Amino acid sequence: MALAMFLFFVGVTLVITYWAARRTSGASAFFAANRQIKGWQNGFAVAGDYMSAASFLGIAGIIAFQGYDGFMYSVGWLVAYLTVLLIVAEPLRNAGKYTMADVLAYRLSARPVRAMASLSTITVSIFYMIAQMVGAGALVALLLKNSGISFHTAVIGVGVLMIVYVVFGGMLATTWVQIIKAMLLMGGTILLSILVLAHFGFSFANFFNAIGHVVYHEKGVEVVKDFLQPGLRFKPPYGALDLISLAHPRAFLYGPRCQDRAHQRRVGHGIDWHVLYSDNLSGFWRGYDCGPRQDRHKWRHEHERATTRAVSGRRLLLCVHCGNRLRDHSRRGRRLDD
Amino acid sequence: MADDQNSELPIDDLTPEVGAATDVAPLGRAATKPAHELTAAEDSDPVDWSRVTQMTEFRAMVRAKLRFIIPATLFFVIYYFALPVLVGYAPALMSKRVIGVVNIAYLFALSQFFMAWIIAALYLRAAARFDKMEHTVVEKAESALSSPRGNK
Repeated sequence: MALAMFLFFVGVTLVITYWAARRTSGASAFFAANRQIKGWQNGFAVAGDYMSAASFLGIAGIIAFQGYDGFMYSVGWLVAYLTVLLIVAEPLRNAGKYTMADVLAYRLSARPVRAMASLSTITVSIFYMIAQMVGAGALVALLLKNSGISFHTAVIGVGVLMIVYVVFGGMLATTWVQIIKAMLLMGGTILLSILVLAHFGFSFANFFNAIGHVVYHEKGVEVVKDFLQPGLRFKPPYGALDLISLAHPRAFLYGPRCQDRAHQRRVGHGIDWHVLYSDNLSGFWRGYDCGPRQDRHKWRHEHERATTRAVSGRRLLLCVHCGNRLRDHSRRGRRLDD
Repeated sequence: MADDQNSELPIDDLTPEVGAATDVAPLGRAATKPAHELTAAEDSDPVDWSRVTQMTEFRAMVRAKLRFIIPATLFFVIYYFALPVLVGYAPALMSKRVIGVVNIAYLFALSQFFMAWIIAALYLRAAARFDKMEHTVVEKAESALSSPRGNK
Protein backbone atom coordinates (compact mmCIF):
# COMPACT_ATOMS: atom_id res chain seq x y z
CA MET A 1 0.00 0.00 0.00
CA ALA A 2 2.69 2.46 1.06
CA LEU A 3 4.87 1.36 -1.83
CA ALA A 4 2.01 1.76 -4.32
CA MET A 5 1.27 5.29 -3.07
CA PHE A 6 4.93 6.21 -3.17
CA LEU A 7 5.33 4.92 -6.72
CA PHE A 8 2.15 6.74 -7.73
CA PHE A 9 3.53 10.11 -6.64
CA VAL A 10 6.92 9.43 -8.18
CA GLY A 11 5.11 8.51 -11.41
CA VAL A 12 3.01 11.69 -11.38
CA THR A 13 6.03 13.92 -10.81
CA LEU A 14 8.00 12.13 -13.53
CA VAL A 15 5.13 12.65 -15.97
CA ILE A 16 5.21 16.36 -15.12
CA THR A 17 8.95 16.39 -15.67
CA TYR A 18 8.52 14.72 -19.04
CA TRP A 19 5.80 17.19 -20.01
CA ALA A 20 7.96 20.11 -18.90
CA ALA A 21 11.06 18.76 -20.63
CA ARG A 22 9.20 18.65 -23.93
CA ARG A 23 8.24 22.29 -23.56
CA THR A 24 11.62 23.48 -22.38
CA SER A 25 14.16 24.68 -24.88
CA GLY A 26 16.73 27.37 -24.38
CA ALA A 27 18.14 29.06 -21.33
CA SER A 28 15.17 31.31 -20.65
CA ALA A 29 12.82 28.34 -20.62
CA PHE A 30 15.11 26.26 -18.44
CA PHE A 31 15.95 28.86 -15.81
CA ALA A 32 12.85 31.04 -15.85
CA ALA A 33 10.11 28.75 -17.27
CA ASN A 34 9.80 31.23 -20.14
CA ARG A 35 8.33 33.66 -17.61
CA GLN A 36 5.02 31.91 -18.01
CA ILE A 37 4.49 31.22 -14.33
CA LYS A 38 1.59 33.22 -12.98
CA GLY A 39 1.51 34.95 -9.62
CA TRP A 40 -0.69 32.41 -7.86
CA GLN A 41 1.34 29.52 -9.23
CA ASN A 42 4.56 31.03 -8.02
CA GLY A 43 2.95 31.71 -4.65
CA PHE A 44 2.08 28.03 -4.30
CA ALA A 45 5.56 27.04 -5.44
CA VAL A 46 7.23 29.35 -2.91
CA ALA A 47 4.96 27.95 -0.21
CA GLY A 48 5.92 24.42 -1.35
CA ASP A 49 9.59 25.31 -1.21
CA TYR A 50 9.19 26.56 2.30
CA MET A 51 7.17 23.71 3.72
CA SER A 52 10.05 21.34 3.95
CA ALA A 53 10.74 18.48 6.30
CA ALA A 54 11.83 20.96 8.96
CA SER A 55 8.56 22.83 9.20
CA PHE A 56 6.41 19.82 8.54
CA LEU A 57 7.97 17.04 10.55
CA GLY A 58 10.46 18.83 12.78
CA ILE A 59 8.08 21.43 14.20
CA ALA A 60 5.25 18.93 14.53
CA GLY A 61 7.61 16.58 16.37
CA ILE A 62 9.02 19.14 18.75
CA ILE A 63 5.52 20.37 19.64
CA ALA A 64 4.35 16.80 20.16
CA PHE A 65 7.21 16.01 22.56
CA GLN A 66 7.94 19.36 24.17
CA GLY A 67 4.64 21.18 24.01
CA TYR A 68 4.78 24.92 24.41
CA ASP A 69 8.55 25.24 23.94
CA GLY A 70 8.20 23.68 20.51
CA PHE A 71 5.35 26.00 19.64
CA MET A 72 7.43 28.98 20.68
CA TYR A 73 10.30 27.70 18.57
CA SER A 74 8.06 27.68 15.51
CA VAL A 75 7.14 31.35 15.97
CA GLY A 76 10.66 32.44 15.06
CA TRP A 77 10.37 30.95 11.58
CA LEU A 78 7.48 33.24 10.85
CA VAL A 79 8.93 36.39 12.36
CA ALA A 80 12.18 35.83 10.45
CA TYR A 81 10.25 36.61 7.31
CA LEU A 82 9.54 40.09 8.53
CA THR A 83 13.30 40.60 8.73
CA VAL A 84 13.64 39.39 5.19
CA LEU A 85 10.72 41.51 4.04
CA LEU A 86 11.59 44.80 5.69
CA ILE A 87 15.38 44.73 5.83
CA VAL A 88 16.42 42.69 2.81
CA ALA A 89 13.61 42.63 0.27
CA GLU A 90 12.43 46.21 0.62
CA PRO A 91 15.73 47.85 -0.40
CA LEU A 92 16.20 45.27 -3.17
CA ARG A 93 12.76 45.86 -4.56
CA ASN A 94 12.76 47.83 -7.79
CA ALA A 95 16.54 47.79 -7.90
CA GLY A 96 16.49 46.03 -11.27
CA LYS A 97 18.62 43.23 -9.86
CA TYR A 98 17.98 39.58 -9.14
CA THR A 99 20.15 38.81 -6.17
CA MET A 100 21.80 40.48 -3.24
CA ALA A 101 25.15 39.87 -4.92
CA ASP A 102 23.93 41.80 -7.99
CA VAL A 103 23.13 44.78 -5.78
CA LEU A 104 26.34 44.64 -3.76
CA ALA A 105 28.47 44.12 -6.88
CA TYR A 106 27.02 47.27 -8.43
CA ARG A 107 28.81 49.62 -6.05
CA LEU A 108 31.43 47.44 -4.41
CA SER A 109 34.29 45.53 -5.91
CA ALA A 110 32.49 42.98 -8.04
CA ARG A 111 34.83 39.97 -7.97
CA PRO A 112 35.19 39.56 -4.19
CA VAL A 113 31.46 40.13 -3.75
CA ARG A 114 30.60 37.46 -6.31
CA ALA A 115 33.17 35.08 -4.87
CA MET A 116 31.84 35.46 -1.33
CA ALA A 117 28.24 35.20 -2.49
CA SER A 118 28.99 31.98 -4.39
CA LEU A 119 30.98 30.54 -1.52
CA SER A 120 28.32 31.25 1.09
CA THR A 121 25.57 29.98 -1.20
CA ILE A 122 27.39 26.71 -1.78
CA THR A 123 28.28 26.31 1.89
CA VAL A 124 24.73 26.94 3.10
CA SER A 125 23.24 24.78 0.35
CA ILE A 126 25.49 21.81 1.12
CA PHE A 127 24.70 21.78 4.83
CA TYR A 128 21.05 22.42 4.15
CA MET A 129 20.98 19.63 1.60
CA ILE A 130 22.68 17.10 3.86
CA ALA A 131 19.98 17.58 6.49
CA GLN A 132 17.25 17.41 3.86
CA MET A 133 18.66 14.26 2.31
CA VAL A 134 19.01 12.54 5.67
CA GLY A 135 15.42 13.52 6.48
CA ALA A 136 14.10 12.36 3.14
CA GLY A 137 16.06 9.13 3.35
CA ALA A 138 14.85 8.37 6.87
CA LEU A 139 11.29 9.11 5.84
CA VAL A 140 11.35 6.94 2.74
CA ALA A 141 13.08 4.11 4.60
CA LEU A 142 10.40 4.31 7.29
CA LEU A 143 7.52 4.42 4.80
CA LEU A 144 8.85 1.56 2.70
CA LYS A 145 10.23 -0.53 5.56
CA ASN A 146 8.28 -3.59 4.47
CA SER A 147 9.65 -3.40 0.94
CA GLY A 148 13.17 -3.90 2.23
CA ILE A 149 14.55 -0.53 1.14
CA SER A 150 17.49 0.51 3.29
CA PHE A 151 18.35 4.03 4.39
CA HIS A 152 21.26 4.32 1.95
CA THR A 153 19.20 3.17 -1.00
CA ALA A 154 16.51 5.69 -0.04
CA VAL A 155 19.00 8.60 0.12
CA ILE A 156 20.50 7.72 -3.25
CA GLY A 157 17.07 7.16 -4.78
CA VAL A 158 15.73 10.51 -3.56
CA GLY A 159 18.88 12.27 -4.75
CA VAL A 160 18.64 10.75 -8.23
CA LEU A 161 14.96 11.69 -8.46
CA MET A 162 15.69 15.32 -7.54
CA ILE A 163 18.46 15.54 -10.13
CA VAL A 164 16.11 14.12 -12.77
CA TYR A 165 13.41 16.69 -11.93
CA VAL A 166 15.78 19.62 -12.16
CA VAL A 167 18.02 18.55 -15.04
CA PHE A 168 15.27 17.42 -17.37
CA GLY A 169 12.35 19.54 -16.30
CA GLY A 170 14.05 22.83 -15.48
CA MET A 171 12.14 25.53 -13.67
CA LEU A 172 8.78 24.55 -15.17
CA ALA A 173 8.88 21.04 -13.71
CA THR A 174 10.24 22.07 -10.31
CA THR A 175 7.58 24.77 -10.04
CA TRP A 176 4.76 22.32 -10.74
CA VAL A 177 6.22 19.68 -8.48
CA GLN A 178 6.33 22.30 -5.71
CA ILE A 179 2.76 23.42 -6.43
CA ILE A 180 1.53 19.84 -6.09
CA LYS A 181 3.59 19.36 -2.95
CA ALA A 182 2.19 22.53 -1.38
CA MET A 183 -1.36 21.48 -2.15
CA LEU A 184 -0.82 17.96 -0.78
CA LEU A 185 0.84 19.21 2.40
CA MET A 186 -1.79 21.85 3.08
CA GLY A 187 -4.60 19.44 2.23
CA GLY A 188 -3.06 16.88 4.58
CA THR A 189 -2.68 19.41 7.39
CA ILE A 190 -6.24 20.67 7.07
CA LEU A 191 -7.55 17.10 7.03
CA LEU A 192 -5.46 16.20 10.10
CA SER A 193 -6.66 19.31 11.94
CA ILE A 194 -10.29 18.42 11.23
CA LEU A 195 -9.73 14.81 12.34
CA VAL A 196 -8.05 15.93 15.58
CA LEU A 197 -10.87 18.36 16.31
CA ALA A 198 -13.41 15.65 15.50
CA HIS A 199 -11.69 13.43 18.04
CA PHE A 200 -12.45 16.10 20.65
CA GLY A 201 -16.01 16.60 19.43
CA PHE A 202 -15.10 19.87 17.70
CA SER A 203 -14.68 21.53 21.07
CA PHE A 204 -11.65 23.76 21.61
CA ALA A 205 -12.24 23.52 25.36
CA ASN A 206 -11.86 19.73 25.31
CA PHE A 207 -8.90 20.03 23.00
CA PHE A 208 -6.98 22.44 25.22
CA ASN A 209 -7.94 20.52 28.34
CA ALA A 210 -6.36 17.43 26.84
CA ILE A 211 -3.16 19.36 26.06
CA GLY A 212 -3.16 20.70 29.61
CA HIS A 213 -3.32 17.21 31.08
CA VAL A 214 -1.11 14.96 29.01
CA VAL A 215 -0.65 11.58 30.63
CA TYR A 216 2.35 9.49 29.75
CA HIS A 217 4.76 7.04 31.28
CA GLU A 218 8.22 8.04 32.33
CA LYS A 219 10.39 5.14 33.54
CA GLY A 220 7.29 3.15 34.28
CA VAL A 221 5.69 5.90 36.37
CA GLU A 222 2.54 7.65 35.22
CA VAL A 223 3.12 11.40 34.80
CA VAL A 224 0.62 14.16 34.06
CA LYS A 225 2.06 17.25 32.40
CA ASP A 226 0.67 20.52 31.16
CA PHE A 227 1.92 20.87 27.59
CA LEU A 228 0.79 24.49 27.52
CA GLN A 229 3.31 25.46 30.19
CA PRO A 230 6.71 26.67 29.06
CA GLY A 231 9.84 24.99 30.32
CA LEU A 232 9.42 21.38 29.22
CA ARG A 233 12.53 21.68 27.14
CA PHE A 234 14.28 24.86 28.22
CA LYS A 235 14.65 24.56 31.98
CA PRO A 236 16.20 26.90 34.52
CA PRO A 237 18.80 28.15 35.22
CA TYR A 238 19.86 28.56 31.60
CA GLY A 239 16.46 28.14 29.99
CA ALA A 240 15.95 31.82 29.36
CA LEU A 241 19.35 32.26 27.76
CA ASP A 242 18.77 29.20 25.63
CA LEU A 243 15.54 30.69 24.37
CA ILE A 244 17.06 34.05 23.53
CA SER A 245 20.11 32.57 21.84
CA LEU A 246 17.81 30.37 19.80
CA ALA A 247 15.54 33.26 18.96
CA HIS A 248 18.33 35.52 17.80
CA PRO A 249 19.65 33.59 14.80
CA ARG A 250 16.17 32.66 13.76
CA ALA A 251 15.04 36.24 13.64
CA PHE A 252 18.13 37.72 12.02
CA LEU A 253 20.32 35.17 10.39
CA TYR A 254 17.77 33.02 8.66
CA GLY A 255 19.14 33.39 5.18
CA PRO A 256 16.94 35.10 2.70
CA ARG A 257 17.00 33.23 -0.52
CA CYS A 258 16.47 35.52 -3.42
CA GLN A 259 16.09 32.68 -5.71
CA ASP A 260 15.19 32.16 -9.33
CA ARG A 261 11.53 32.12 -8.46
CA ALA A 262 11.47 35.88 -8.37
CA HIS A 263 12.11 36.29 -12.03
CA GLN A 264 9.82 33.81 -13.68
CA ARG A 265 6.73 35.79 -13.22
CA ARG A 266 5.12 37.03 -16.33
CA VAL A 267 3.95 40.55 -15.65
CA GLY A 268 5.46 43.35 -13.69
CA HIS A 269 2.80 43.46 -11.06
CA GLY A 270 2.65 39.72 -10.57
CA ILE A 271 5.15 39.91 -7.75
CA ASP A 272 2.75 41.51 -5.35
CA TRP A 273 0.24 38.80 -6.11
CA HIS A 274 2.50 35.93 -5.41
CA VAL A 275 3.65 37.65 -2.25
CA LEU A 276 0.04 37.76 -1.24
CA TYR A 277 -0.67 34.18 -2.23
CA SER A 278 2.41 32.87 -0.55
CA ASP A 279 1.50 34.78 2.60
CA ASN A 280 -2.02 33.49 2.63
CA LEU A 281 -0.97 29.95 1.92
CA SER A 282 1.85 29.29 4.27
CA GLY A 283 1.98 32.36 6.41
CA PHE A 284 5.61 32.74 5.54
CA TRP A 285 7.60 35.24 3.60
CA ARG A 286 10.53 34.50 1.53
CA GLY A 287 13.06 36.64 -0.25
CA TYR A 288 10.80 36.85 -3.20
CA ASP A 289 10.53 40.55 -3.56
CA CYS A 290 13.86 41.11 -5.20
CA GLY A 291 12.98 40.42 -8.80
CA PRO A 292 14.19 42.67 -11.55
CA ARG A 293 12.32 45.82 -12.08
CA GLN A 294 13.93 48.21 -14.40
CA ASP A 295 11.61 50.66 -12.92
CA ARG A 296 11.90 53.34 -15.46
CA HIS A 297 10.16 51.00 -17.85
CA LYS A 298 7.71 49.52 -15.46
CA TRP A 299 5.00 52.00 -16.03
CA ARG A 300 4.80 51.64 -19.76
CA HIS A 301 4.96 48.13 -20.96
CA GLU A 302 5.02 48.86 -24.66
CA HIS A 303 8.56 50.05 -25.02
CA GLU A 304 9.48 47.90 -27.94
CA ARG A 305 10.29 50.79 -30.23
CA ALA A 306 13.68 52.27 -29.75
CA THR A 307 16.15 54.57 -31.33
CA THR A 308 19.89 54.83 -31.09
CA ARG A 309 21.45 57.99 -29.86
CA ALA A 310 24.93 58.95 -28.95
CA VAL A 311 25.07 59.56 -25.24
CA SER A 312 28.39 60.71 -23.84
CA GLY A 313 30.27 59.29 -26.76
CA ARG A 314 28.62 55.88 -26.76
CA ARG A 315 25.87 54.63 -28.97
CA LEU A 316 22.99 53.41 -26.93
CA LEU A 317 19.51 52.20 -27.64
CA LEU A 318 16.96 54.51 -26.13
CA CYS A 319 13.25 54.23 -25.82
CA VAL A 320 11.41 56.58 -28.14
CA HIS A 321 8.82 57.38 -25.50
CA CYS A 322 10.93 58.30 -22.54
CA GLY A 323 14.48 58.40 -23.82
CA ASN A 324 15.66 55.77 -21.38
CA ARG A 325 18.06 53.11 -22.35
CA LEU A 326 16.96 49.65 -23.35
CA ARG A 327 19.90 48.06 -21.70
CA ASP A 328 20.24 44.60 -23.07
CA HIS A 329 20.01 45.24 -26.74
CA SER A 330 22.96 47.52 -26.97
CA ARG A 331 25.12 45.08 -25.03
CA ARG A 332 24.16 41.93 -26.79
CA GLY A 333 24.76 43.51 -30.13
CA ARG A 334 21.49 42.08 -31.24
CA ARG A 335 20.70 42.56 -34.88
CA LEU A 336 17.88 45.04 -35.19
CA ASP A 337 15.40 44.95 -38.03
CA ASP A 338 14.42 48.17 -39.69
CA MET B 1 24.90 61.66 -35.71
CA ALA B 2 22.75 58.80 -34.58
CA ASP B 3 19.23 60.09 -34.62
CA ASP B 4 18.64 58.77 -38.12
CA GLN B 5 18.75 55.16 -36.99
CA ASN B 6 15.23 54.68 -35.76
CA SER B 7 14.70 50.98 -35.51
CA GLU B 8 12.32 48.46 -34.14
CA LEU B 9 13.26 45.75 -31.70
CA PRO B 10 12.24 42.15 -32.19
CA ILE B 11 9.55 41.44 -29.65
CA ASP B 12 9.65 37.68 -29.45
CA ASP B 13 11.46 37.43 -26.12
CA LEU B 14 11.00 40.68 -24.29
CA THR B 15 10.46 40.93 -20.60
CA PRO B 16 7.62 43.35 -20.01
CA GLU B 17 9.32 45.64 -17.55
CA VAL B 18 12.85 45.63 -18.92
CA GLY B 19 11.85 45.68 -22.54
CA ALA B 20 14.81 43.44 -23.16
CA ALA B 21 15.61 39.80 -23.75
CA THR B 22 15.40 37.46 -20.80
CA ASP B 23 18.75 38.05 -19.19
CA VAL B 24 19.90 34.66 -18.06
CA ALA B 25 23.55 35.00 -17.13
CA PRO B 26 25.74 33.20 -19.67
CA LEU B 27 28.51 30.85 -18.55
CA GLY B 28 32.06 32.04 -18.91
CA ARG B 29 33.28 35.51 -19.68
CA ALA B 30 33.16 35.51 -23.45
CA ALA B 31 29.58 36.76 -23.67
CA THR B 32 28.49 40.19 -22.53
CA LYS B 33 27.00 40.58 -19.10
CA PRO B 34 23.24 40.79 -18.69
CA ALA B 35 21.90 44.09 -17.39
CA HIS B 36 21.35 42.91 -13.85
CA GLU B 37 24.99 41.91 -13.42
CA LEU B 38 26.53 45.22 -14.40
CA THR B 39 28.60 47.19 -11.94
CA ALA B 40 28.34 50.95 -11.58
CA ALA B 41 31.49 51.42 -13.66
CA GLU B 42 30.13 49.38 -16.56
CA ASP B 43 26.69 50.87 -16.43
CA SER B 44 26.07 54.07 -18.26
CA ASP B 45 22.76 55.71 -17.89
CA PRO B 46 21.28 58.76 -19.56
CA VAL B 47 19.52 59.71 -16.34
CA ASP B 48 21.48 62.02 -14.09
CA TRP B 49 20.99 60.21 -10.80
CA SER B 50 22.83 62.72 -8.69
CA ARG B 51 20.27 65.27 -9.81
CA VAL B 52 17.42 62.85 -9.13
CA THR B 53 18.60 62.46 -5.54
CA GLN B 54 18.20 66.22 -5.10
CA MET B 55 14.56 66.18 -6.19
CA THR B 56 12.02 66.97 -3.49
CA GLU B 57 9.81 64.08 -4.64
CA PHE B 58 12.71 61.64 -4.36
CA ARG B 59 13.62 62.86 -0.89
CA ALA B 60 9.99 62.64 0.19
CA MET B 61 9.89 59.04 -1.05
CA VAL B 62 13.03 58.04 0.85
CA ARG B 63 11.67 59.72 3.98
CA ALA B 64 8.32 57.95 3.61
CA LYS B 65 10.09 54.60 3.28
CA LEU B 66 12.21 55.15 6.36
CA ARG B 67 9.17 56.36 8.29
CA PHE B 68 7.56 52.99 7.67
CA ILE B 69 10.53 50.61 7.76
CA ILE B 70 12.23 51.83 10.95
CA PRO B 71 9.21 51.83 13.29
CA ALA B 72 7.90 48.56 11.83
CA THR B 73 11.28 46.87 12.27
CA LEU B 74 11.73 48.18 15.79
CA PHE B 75 8.23 47.08 16.72
CA PHE B 76 8.47 43.54 15.46
CA VAL B 77 11.96 42.98 16.88
CA ILE B 78 10.90 44.17 20.34
CA TYR B 79 7.60 42.30 20.20
CA TYR B 80 9.29 39.10 19.12
CA PHE B 81 12.14 39.21 21.63
CA ALA B 82 9.69 40.01 24.40
CA LEU B 83 8.42 36.44 24.03
CA PRO B 84 11.60 34.48 24.90
CA VAL B 85 12.68 37.11 27.45
CA LEU B 86 9.36 37.05 29.30
CA VAL B 87 9.00 33.28 29.10
CA GLY B 88 12.55 32.93 30.36
CA TYR B 89 12.61 35.55 33.12
CA ALA B 90 8.95 35.92 34.14
CA PRO B 91 7.67 32.35 34.04
CA ALA B 92 5.16 32.96 36.81
CA LEU B 93 3.46 35.75 34.87
CA MET B 94 3.53 33.88 31.61
CA SER B 95 2.05 30.67 32.98
CA LYS B 96 -0.95 32.47 34.45
CA ARG B 97 -4.07 30.86 33.04
CA VAL B 98 -6.51 33.12 31.25
CA ILE B 99 -9.15 31.01 29.53
CA GLY B 100 -9.40 27.49 30.93
CA VAL B 101 -5.94 25.96 30.73
CA VAL B 102 -4.81 28.45 28.08
CA ASN B 103 -2.14 30.71 29.58
CA ILE B 104 -0.64 34.09 28.71
CA ALA B 105 2.45 32.49 27.18
CA TYR B 106 0.33 30.58 24.68
CA LEU B 107 -1.74 33.60 23.72
CA PHE B 108 1.38 35.75 23.38
CA ALA B 109 3.05 33.22 21.08
CA LEU B 110 -0.15 32.92 19.05
CA SER B 111 -0.40 36.70 18.76
CA GLN B 112 3.03 36.72 17.06
CA PHE B 113 1.41 35.13 14.02
CA PHE B 114 -1.20 37.87 13.81
CA MET B 115 1.47 40.50 14.42
CA ALA B 116 3.49 39.16 11.47
CA TRP B 117 0.45 39.02 9.20
CA ILE B 118 -0.66 42.52 10.11
CA ILE B 119 2.80 44.02 9.55
CA ALA B 120 3.05 42.17 6.24
CA ALA B 121 -0.36 43.48 5.16
CA LEU B 122 0.58 47.01 6.21
CA TYR B 123 3.78 46.68 4.22
CA LEU B 124 1.86 45.60 1.12
CA ARG B 125 -0.25 48.73 1.41
CA ALA B 126 2.76 50.93 2.06
CA ALA B 127 4.65 49.39 -0.86
CA ALA B 128 1.80 50.32 -3.19
CA ARG B 129 2.13 53.88 -1.90
CA PHE B 130 5.92 53.82 -2.43
CA ASP B 131 5.36 52.60 -5.98
CA LYS B 132 3.13 55.57 -6.68
CA MET B 133 5.75 57.94 -5.30
CA GLU B 134 8.43 56.24 -7.39
CA HIS B 135 6.20 56.68 -10.39
CA THR B 136 6.12 60.43 -9.78
CA VAL B 137 9.90 60.57 -9.44
CA VAL B 138 10.39 58.54 -12.62
CA GLU B 139 7.95 60.72 -14.57
CA LYS B 140 9.78 63.81 -13.48
CA ALA B 141 13.22 62.39 -14.24
CA GLU B 142 11.97 61.32 -17.66
CA SER B 143 10.58 64.73 -18.50
CA ALA B 144 13.90 66.28 -17.49
CA LEU B 145 15.59 63.80 -19.81
CA SER B 146 13.48 64.54 -22.87
CA SER B 147 14.12 68.26 -22.49
CA PRO B 148 16.83 69.66 -24.81
CA ARG B 149 19.41 69.48 -22.06
CA GLY B 150 19.09 65.76 -21.60
CA ASN B 151 19.26 64.77 -25.27
CA LYS B 152 22.92 65.07 -25.69
